[in-house]
Amino acid sequence: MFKSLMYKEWLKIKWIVVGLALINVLVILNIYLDLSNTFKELAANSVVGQFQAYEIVFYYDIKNIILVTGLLLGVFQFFPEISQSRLKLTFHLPVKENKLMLQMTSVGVFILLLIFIIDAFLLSIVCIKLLPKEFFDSMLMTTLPWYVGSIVTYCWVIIIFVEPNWTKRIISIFLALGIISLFYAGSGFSAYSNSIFYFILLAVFCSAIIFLSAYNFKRGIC
Amino acid sequence: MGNVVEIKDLTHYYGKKLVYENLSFNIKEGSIFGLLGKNGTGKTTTINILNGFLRPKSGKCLMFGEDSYNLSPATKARVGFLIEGHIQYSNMNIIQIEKFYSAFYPKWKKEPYYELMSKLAVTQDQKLSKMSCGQRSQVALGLILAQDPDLLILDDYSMGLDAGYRRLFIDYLTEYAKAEKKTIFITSHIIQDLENFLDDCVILDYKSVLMTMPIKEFMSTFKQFKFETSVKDLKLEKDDVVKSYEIIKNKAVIFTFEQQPNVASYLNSKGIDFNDLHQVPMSLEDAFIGITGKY
Repeated sequence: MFKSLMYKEWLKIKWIVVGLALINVLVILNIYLDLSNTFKELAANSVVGQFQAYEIVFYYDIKNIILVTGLLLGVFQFFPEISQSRLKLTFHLPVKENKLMLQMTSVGVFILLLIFIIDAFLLSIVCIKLLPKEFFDSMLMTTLPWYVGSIVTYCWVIIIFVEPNWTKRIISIFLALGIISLFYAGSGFSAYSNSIFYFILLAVFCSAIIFLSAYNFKRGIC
Repeated sequence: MGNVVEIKDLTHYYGKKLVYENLSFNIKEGSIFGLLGKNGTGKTTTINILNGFLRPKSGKCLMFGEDSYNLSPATKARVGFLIEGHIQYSNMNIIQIEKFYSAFYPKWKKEPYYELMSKLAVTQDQKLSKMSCGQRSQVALGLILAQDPDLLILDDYSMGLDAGYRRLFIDYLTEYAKAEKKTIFITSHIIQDLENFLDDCVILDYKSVLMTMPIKEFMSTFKQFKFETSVKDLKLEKDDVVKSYEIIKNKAVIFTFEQQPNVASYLNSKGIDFNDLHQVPMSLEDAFIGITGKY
């Protein structure tokens, strides 16, 4: 049954997944080309020195793309479910509703993780090829909150879409904006390296709220 | 035969607005049960409660003996559900959607689905979103028939359908569901199509239940009488005898469960001068309008 549900989700989101993965790759390619050009025009040592001195995050462009990736995946996966209350069809399948929500969310999170692994892999190649090793180490710790933030964004899109009550929906939007901004507020290398554990805890907490929205959807508007 | 659905003293509000109170009825195994009522009387609300998509304010709703709000997966597999407007996964084509659903239902039979699809002028890679409302309704019906459920819940199957597709829908229901003694719970705003289809029905009015009885009993006991009167500005009121009435100039129509002599006595007791009192035959739609009123 999970295989069949995965099939349904894949049919729904395959083009947006391909599109998002492509955009992520293109942005990283652009970062690589920019950096290569800078190194051609200026002395590599001087550039690296400035990067270190001012903590310049040369892959900063990927930050917003990572955020948008989670946001759009959530929208494209769950808007069709909410449109015309199609989620009722899904919840009528002979599987417990919470299990269905968990499985649908798992599909999205799995796809996001795949895209982020590709991102991290390509960024690592850029770092290893052009910069000293410490940049590679800090890159992973700098981008990790962004990736976690994207998954949190994805979860909040689901929470907001599935929630049937408009008041709670609007409260959720403001709550989501506050929480998501935490993941993207830091600047500089490894800005959140000491708090990444708490970010992951926050992500787990946010993902649990999905089940509350699903419960509210099932209970209906009274 | 036992009851597939048992609804007892169901009451529901949206905020402070009462939808209905103390709605009670049972649906017998193998019967075709119609929930009739004008728009906004709570038909879809009842279907949502029955499918566990709405928690009622009070009352009990059991499906196959289980609380409808907490149906087990095994019970959900026994229920085929047509959502109002024939909603389905519109990004899929007819092959993909059959493949998707077949994995969930142990009794899946694809033959009736593909038999129905062969009647539609659709290509195999045509998405549901590119189909007409009538074609989508047949896809939704085909999927329910393939599921081979014990209970079919059909919320306003006729919405958006022309006469041909409505007939096709009822013909297939008759062929596959009625013939196999499936239980059907159906709502529709086109009453005439259900005349020879229903066994039992509930008629809802705003905030209340007008009647619950077998359709044959309803059609044989509910009557329409016409008469002429010389009384100017004749005024009648709904009561135990007069369920509904209509007065145009000097001609009056009364809808009632009473026999003609009782109606005559009633008019006499009210001092209403009348002549040419006679019963007029009714279709189910006439009777429905008669009991619910035109407004």
